[in-house]
Amino acid sequence: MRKRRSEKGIRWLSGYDFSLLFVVLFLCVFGLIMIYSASYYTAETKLHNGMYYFRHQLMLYGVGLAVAIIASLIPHRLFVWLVWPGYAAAVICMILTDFTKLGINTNGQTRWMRVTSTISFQPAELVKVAIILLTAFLIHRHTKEMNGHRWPLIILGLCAVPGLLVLKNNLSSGIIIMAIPVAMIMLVSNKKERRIAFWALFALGLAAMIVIKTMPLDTLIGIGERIEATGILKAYQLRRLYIWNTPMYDARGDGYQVVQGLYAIGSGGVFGKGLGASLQKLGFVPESANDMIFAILCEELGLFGAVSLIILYLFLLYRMMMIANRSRDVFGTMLVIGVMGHIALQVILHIGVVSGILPNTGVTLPFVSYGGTASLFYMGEIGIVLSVGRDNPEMVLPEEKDGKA
Amino acid sequence: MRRKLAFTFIMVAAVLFALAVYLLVLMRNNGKEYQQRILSQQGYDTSLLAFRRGNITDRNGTVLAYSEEVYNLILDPSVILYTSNPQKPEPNREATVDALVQVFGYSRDEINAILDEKPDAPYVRFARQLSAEDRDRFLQYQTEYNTAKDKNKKKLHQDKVTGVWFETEYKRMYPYDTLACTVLGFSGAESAEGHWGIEEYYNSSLSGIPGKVYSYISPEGDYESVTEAAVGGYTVVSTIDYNVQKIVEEEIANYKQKHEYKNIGVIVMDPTSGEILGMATDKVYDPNDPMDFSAVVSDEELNAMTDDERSALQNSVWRNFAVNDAFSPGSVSKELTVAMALEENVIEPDTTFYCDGSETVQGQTIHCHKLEGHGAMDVTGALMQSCNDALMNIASRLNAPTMLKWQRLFGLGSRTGIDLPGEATGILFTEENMSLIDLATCSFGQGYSSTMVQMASAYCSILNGGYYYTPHIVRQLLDENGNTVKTVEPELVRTTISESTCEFLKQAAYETVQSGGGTRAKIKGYTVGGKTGTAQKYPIEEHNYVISFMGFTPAFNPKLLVYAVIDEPEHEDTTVSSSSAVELERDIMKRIIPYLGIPADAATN
Repeated sequence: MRKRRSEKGIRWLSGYDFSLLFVVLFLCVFGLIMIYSASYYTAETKLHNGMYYFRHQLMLYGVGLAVAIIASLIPHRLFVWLVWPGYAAAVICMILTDFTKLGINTNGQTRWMRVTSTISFQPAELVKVAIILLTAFLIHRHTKEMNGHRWPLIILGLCAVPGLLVLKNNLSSGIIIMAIPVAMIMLVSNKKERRIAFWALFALGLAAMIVIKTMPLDTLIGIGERIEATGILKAYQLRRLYIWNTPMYDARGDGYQVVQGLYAIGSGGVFGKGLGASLQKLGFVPESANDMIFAILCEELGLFGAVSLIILYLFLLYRMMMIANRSRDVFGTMLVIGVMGHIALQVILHIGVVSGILPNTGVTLPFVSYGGTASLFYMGEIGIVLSVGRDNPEMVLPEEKDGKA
Repeated sequence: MRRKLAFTFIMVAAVLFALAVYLLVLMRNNGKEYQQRILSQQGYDTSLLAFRRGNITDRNGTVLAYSEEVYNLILDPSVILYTSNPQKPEPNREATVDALVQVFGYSRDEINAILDEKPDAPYVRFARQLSAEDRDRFLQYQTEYNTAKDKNKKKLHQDKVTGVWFETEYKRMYPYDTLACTVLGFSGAESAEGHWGIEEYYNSSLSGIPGKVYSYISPEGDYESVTEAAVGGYTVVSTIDYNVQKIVEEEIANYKQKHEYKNIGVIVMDPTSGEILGMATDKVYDPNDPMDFSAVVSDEELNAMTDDERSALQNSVWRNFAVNDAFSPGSVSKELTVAMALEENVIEPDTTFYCDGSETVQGQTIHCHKLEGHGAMDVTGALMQSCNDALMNIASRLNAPTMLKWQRLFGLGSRTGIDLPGEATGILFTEENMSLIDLATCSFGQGYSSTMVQMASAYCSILNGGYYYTPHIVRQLLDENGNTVKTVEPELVRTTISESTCEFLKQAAYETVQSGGGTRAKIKGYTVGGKTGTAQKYPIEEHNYVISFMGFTPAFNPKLLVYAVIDEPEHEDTTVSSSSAVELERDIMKRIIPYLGIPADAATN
């Protein structure tokens, strides 16, 4: 009896990626410390409660951890049940947010949806998870057809519905939502031309970015004035371009956040000023605990802290890659790849924005930034990955069979 | 698939590596510059605390000016409008605006307009000079409201009354309103700077040292501050006597009701020390509200004025005629002419003169005020009857350099050094430009100009036996605890004339009041000496005059000097009598004598 039970227990948890769970927990605790450090001053001066953001985030991670563990114990094939309801919920939430009074308008953008009088959430985060589930499921169902045009376009079309609804109010999340399915499709597609085209486009975009970013401001303004004369872009749009090129162009206005972030990063040095010793968090860097937290991290922990964090993310992605590789069904693989893509994009965009390489849009750093909704959904995604990681033949989703699914 | 995934992973790693390299470059190239920028924008938060401006008291400690603590209401919209949960934007706004409306009755719309206009401003001074009661009422409301909300612990973050605080400031108060305004001057709302009078002259003593609050973030992340308390200014003890000042101002007010004039000035001095006991002009304003000119002009007129006109108006109301204006002193100065002639031994007390009504100097006939002539008289008689002809005769025995030497010795032509701002010097002739005609007219106080305080100080030296003291209006400076910081002792500048000359002049002045031109100055029971003065103002054709009377008592041991000057009094035709100035002086002196307790020394007559 005892032997069988323990055997069953081993089998039940076999493949459970504890190191992945550990890295995530480490990142969360690290994030809590950084949130405490970065937000204390603002919370104390504005809310008379320095612990406000820390406590709020701690509470959410408690809930998030429970979500992750519960999700990890569910056989991943059961997530199929969530695909269409999740997609429908995402679309409905986006419509409610964008077009009804449930949307909460802050600073001219409607990113939040009211649930109860005290609870609200960002439906864009739900959309991200729903898109990963949907794409993974459809690729699983139509793996063979991924080399063709029909199904990839259907998937992208389906993703574009909530994607565009998000894009309306949140450029960066919209880009992430559209980039995830593209990446997932690219990885299953065997068409070499398509991959070459993808990477070529990627390289082209990168080159264009480098050209705009490194161009002398005077030259850019010269070009901008000619573009403005043709009426293709308006002055305020071009202004954003100038600020992207040289944040100092408007260091007290629209470039303020980036400039202050750069001050923080640059002044950190190799080993930083020490944990808690940031000066820029004292009211100078706006959104110091979420969109700009990497800047405070660099200031306090220096390049050393930044590289350590990057290595942690790479390790996280590596563990996920291992899970994706050993998954016995395409659905599991694609789920993990989707989560990988999501986290990799968030990290790259966050660091890119904070260091001024990318134009300034608000992107949070997974597991580290303050943010209730995002934290919960990240933890849910980790739960999904852990579930896939459990090496249990019974849990495999049968391929191309309509039966249970 | 595995290879593709691995390739993608490597690409992601490469991008992240590139970002790390970029960060390294950023730190290496700009690290130092950015650190300096951070430190420069950090600028430890230092705020100044207002100091309490020192009091001004009269010689007996009666407070004439003090500073009262008042509070400015500061709004911090960045705190009031702070949103932590986007679901519940600006949770504190309504409660805070409600509190302000309920406690102070401010306009809700006005507050909301400010909040909307400057949502990020940390400091908006919304109301000024609230009393301590007002502040306490608000703080009590705030505490009660917030405590009640705190008890409701169901919700993580409750709406609070917040982002409102009070800044201490001082308001300058003059408890006796217009009393001694000319002497005191005034201080602006910030109590930081004095204008006119003692407030201006002693500004640096009255001003304290502002306190400082250094705010910083402790290593624990707490917001901490170190306060360096403000140091209050010194109390200035004036030589002015509240009661004397009051009497002077009341009598000027009485005079104003009965007569027409342009300016009135009165100085009351202690001849033995040069201390000013009272000093007033007819120009009265309330230093509590110095910009209120409603007594002089209507609001419509004021609004219609140009800036220049307005500053001319301010200047006319705030200036001190007794110190800031010079004019021809007239016959009052005859005592000085006689004094210098006696000292130079060009006349003897019993030298006689004959007045035929005029004197011709260098072909120009200068009349005595009595056109038919005073006849023969000695020096005392010349002073008693204020005979110009005799005085011109005396002057003819002097010469220009001698006359100027003595005028300067009596402090004319230069500042007396009185501790009040903007003292005028008056204008004397010079050795080069003084003609014989000028010498003649100077003998009876025409042709040059002097200020009231110059003439009063010169007389003091005659009355106290030849000692010229700097006239002064401040006795002492006290620190916050009442300890003496500085005592102003009578400052002997020089000696002027011999004791015997002094005695002679006092006797002559006594006789002038007894039976000469100043009989109206007589006060029952007291020996009073004095000299009248009537000066013509230029241009002569306009027939404007300055009349004055310099009186003192007791006549032979003077303890009190009262000098009254009326500029451009009403007059008939082309002549004027100095009698109204004499009466003003007498009315003042009569009331001051019993107050100062000067013993009666004259047989009742």
